[in-house]
Amino acid sequence: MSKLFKMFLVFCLLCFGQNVQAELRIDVSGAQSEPLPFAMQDLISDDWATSDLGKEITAVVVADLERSGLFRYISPDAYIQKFTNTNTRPNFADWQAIQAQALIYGTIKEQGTKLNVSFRIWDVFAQTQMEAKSFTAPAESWRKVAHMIADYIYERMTGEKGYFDTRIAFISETGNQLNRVKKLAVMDQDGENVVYLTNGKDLVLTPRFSPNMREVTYFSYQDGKPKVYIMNLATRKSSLVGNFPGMTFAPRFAPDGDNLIMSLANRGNADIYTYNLRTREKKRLTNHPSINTSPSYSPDGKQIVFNSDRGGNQQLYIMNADGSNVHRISFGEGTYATPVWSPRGDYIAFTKIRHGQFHIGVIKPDGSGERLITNGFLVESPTWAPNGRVLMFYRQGRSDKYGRGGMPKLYSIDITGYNEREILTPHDASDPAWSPLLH
Amino acid sequence: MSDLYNDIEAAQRQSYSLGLSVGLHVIILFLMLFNFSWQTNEFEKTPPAILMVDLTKVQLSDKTNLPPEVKVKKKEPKKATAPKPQSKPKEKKPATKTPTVKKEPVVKKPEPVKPQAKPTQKDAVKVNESKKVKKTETKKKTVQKPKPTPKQTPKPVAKPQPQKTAQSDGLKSLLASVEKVKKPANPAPETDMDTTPESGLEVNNGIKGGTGGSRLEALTISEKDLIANKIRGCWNVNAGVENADKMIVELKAYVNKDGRISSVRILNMKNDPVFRSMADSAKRAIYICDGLGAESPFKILSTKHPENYSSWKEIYFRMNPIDGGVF
Repeated sequence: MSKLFKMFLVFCLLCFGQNVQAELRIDVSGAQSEPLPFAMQDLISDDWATSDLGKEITAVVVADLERSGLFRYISPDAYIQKFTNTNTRPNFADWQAIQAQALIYGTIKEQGTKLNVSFRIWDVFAQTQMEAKSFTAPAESWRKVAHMIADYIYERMTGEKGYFDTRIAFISETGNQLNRVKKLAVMDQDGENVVYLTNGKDLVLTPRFSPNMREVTYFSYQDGKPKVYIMNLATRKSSLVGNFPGMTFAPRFAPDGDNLIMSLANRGNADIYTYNLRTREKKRLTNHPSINTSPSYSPDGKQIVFNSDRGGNQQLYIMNADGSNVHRISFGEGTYATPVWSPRGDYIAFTKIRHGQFHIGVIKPDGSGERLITNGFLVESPTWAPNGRVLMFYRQGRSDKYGRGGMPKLYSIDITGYNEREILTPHDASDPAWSPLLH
Repeated sequence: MSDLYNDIEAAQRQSYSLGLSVGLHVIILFLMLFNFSWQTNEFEKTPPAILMVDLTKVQLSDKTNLPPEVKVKKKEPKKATAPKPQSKPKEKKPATKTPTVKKEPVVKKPEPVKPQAKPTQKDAVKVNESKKVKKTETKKKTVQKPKPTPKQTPKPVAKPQPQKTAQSDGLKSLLASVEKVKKPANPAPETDMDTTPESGLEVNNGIKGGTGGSRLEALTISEKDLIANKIRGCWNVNAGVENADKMIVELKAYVNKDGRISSVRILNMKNDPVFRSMADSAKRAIYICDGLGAESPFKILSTKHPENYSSWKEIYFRMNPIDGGVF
């Protein structure tokens, strides 16, 4: 019996083995990383007025996606199929023929003072609809509508949060090197809709958005004192933060929006303090006879990264939100400055000065994986897009003996170090600060 | 009377002891029989192990795509000594192939004959052995009629040879006996080989043509690599995706007989939008490759392995965008 049973088992195993082998199994390791080719027809409209607006919105969407470096737009000249409404199903062979991997088309309608936009995203090769959206917005905010469409497409195709419907606070600079006028300004992430918040009479530096986008904190010589101020964006009224005895600088909001963190320089020493905007309570976090500055919270608000020269030269350190457990994370050659924690928490961006050259790099919070992604005569003030995979900074070249040239410009770069692009602004610009996602 | 009673008692004791001894013997015999049968059962249990060898052969064929029998058949014809023993018995008597098998018990017995040269006391043993041999021969004769003639011939040949050589040179006789022990073992399979030379060639021809191997595995490793490499080229993933090294997309592609993809199903879809995007791009890669026409990696299936459609009508993919990401 046992013999028969064993033979039966062997038979079963053989049968099972045959079934397993009957399915072909293939492992694929590795892929290409090229901009995804997509086709987008201008938003379809019934009347000429909204038709033009549809073209403009489409142009903004295409520009957003192309600027990300992850998409490649296929010119409409190559399109074989023309859509007249969103209910028409694509002829996929026509779109496969022009190598479009994603296809977007939609309609725009004017409803009083509002716009109604609907669109569909198709996977051309899988021949499936990936997304269908429809929303209404005020007609004057058509650019915002365009950025929102771009965000939806970006999110659906990459799986990561978009960052197009965002704003940038920055310092707009005019005049020659010897007599610079610096204004606090805010604009869309693509350089449009610039709004100046100060008149340029007082020097302003390092603006930072609050998490709810209602305020901006910055450093200024307003009222003749080098101090940290906070401005309400709706009323544009600014006020001094705290009543500190020395100079306060390098302010940032805590993730909760209620606390500010900054440096206070007093008697040749600089330490890090928090200031509660509701209770007006001050709290000292570092107490060391060295320069401790440029604090930045982790996204969960539990840790703070800052730079300090307590080890001999300027390096990056992390401490708990209460000031405990200070430990160094950077050990490379050169000096490190202006650390900024990524919104997704995986990296800290920093500026590094080595051999007389500035670099912008990223490092993991545990001190591993340091990578320099760009460099120049002066590259400074990195700031993260809300999705944590794009950085913006300003780049400044060397000026001649007459103070000509070498003006600061804003640039964005992918965390991979590719796709560095200049953000066009009406004037020179520095100290960018990226806002959270607006929608 | 007392003597009589004593005698009766003695007789009773004798009969009792006799019965006891007979009973014990019977028990011992039963035990021996039981043990013997049990041992044989154990030996019989080994054949499944031989079946297991067949399984390993299947695995080998997966890797090399060569049927395991080929190695045996290729090696044997190379042996120069193999054909000689066949010719010798043919010259002496036109015996059939079976006698070679029956030589084995006869040839094994010359070995005990060698000691004859040294001691003379073992003559009785030899006589017994010869009797046993004769008994076995007679038994075999009764079972198979045509076999007796070849059996008789080997005996005189085998026995006198060791005796003569043992007298002249002990070492030579030993070596000769060893050779003879080896020789009968070889001729048996050789004769089998001779009977199927054409079939062996057929198998070899099959291998040369690249169609050999297990029917369970339709594609060679190089063909699998070719498909995987092409899909790598079709797969476009965004650079800098967080935790991309930990994402493995599992897909099942359903292939038509003409090598075109009929559908692709993601097997391990997750709620994570990043993974969803990755899985969608992997699925898209299969379709993009499928759309390459003659360059499609799946065309190799319909053109080179049309007879094995059942083995590639469903393809299971494990895909990771990082080099070496799938283990």
